[in-house]
Amino acid sequence: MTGSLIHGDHISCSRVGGAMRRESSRLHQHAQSLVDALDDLAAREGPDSDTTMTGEAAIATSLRALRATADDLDEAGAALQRYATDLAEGHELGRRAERRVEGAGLLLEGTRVIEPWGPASAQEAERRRAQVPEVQSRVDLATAHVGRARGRLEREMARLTEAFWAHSREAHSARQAPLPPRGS
Amino acid sequence: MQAVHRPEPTSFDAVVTALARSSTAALEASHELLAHYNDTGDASTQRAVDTLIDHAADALRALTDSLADISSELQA
Repeated sequence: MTGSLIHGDHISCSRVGGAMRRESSRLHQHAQSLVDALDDLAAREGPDSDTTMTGEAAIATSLRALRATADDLDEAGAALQRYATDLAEGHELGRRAERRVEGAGLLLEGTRVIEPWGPASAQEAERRRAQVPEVQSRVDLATAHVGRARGRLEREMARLTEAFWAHSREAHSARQAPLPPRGS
Repeated sequence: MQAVHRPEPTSFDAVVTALARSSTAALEASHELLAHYNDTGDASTQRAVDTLIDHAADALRALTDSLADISSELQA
């Protein structure tokens, strides 16, 4: 029965969340290197140089999209890592609930605690029946815990999906912007 | 004759290189995202995560292209 109440692999969720955060950190480092290079160029060229400004708008747009994408990757990774923690707790709650179901001589039908079919003494049947509400509440605790975590994750994923879509458009707009000729 | 002002080569090249490296990093990040398996344990939640990963990878590929294009055009 172990593992049948709460589905999902918290380790895989944590791994993909960690990968997102690592990539976010790398992208931020590259964005900073680009900023440093631009600052260095601006300092050498001076404030009145038009060559320093070559492609500035396209670079600024791409840089903004790069940083925003890195920020949102970090947020998405953190959300997945939080979900992984919640899912792991849900698995533990689920295992405890399943042990309680088994210990009470009851059965799980999906997330519903039921009495088993078959012959039982009146005393035994009454004993089982009396335990159903308490055992059901343990099952509900596990499923509600994971249900809330899934709701939170879905809302975060939906919000960040919109954000990534906007970053794609911004990156495309930078690509379509014509660069002035160098040194003109 | 008016002097044509050109950027100092080392600084300019550093910008071009930084753009190219950022482009490569964005491409590698998109591959990394798509390489990972994950199982949320729920169909609706899984769709939300998969959709996010697809859009994040799209954004990273768009960045890959824009950064590479700018780098190439500045070099030209």
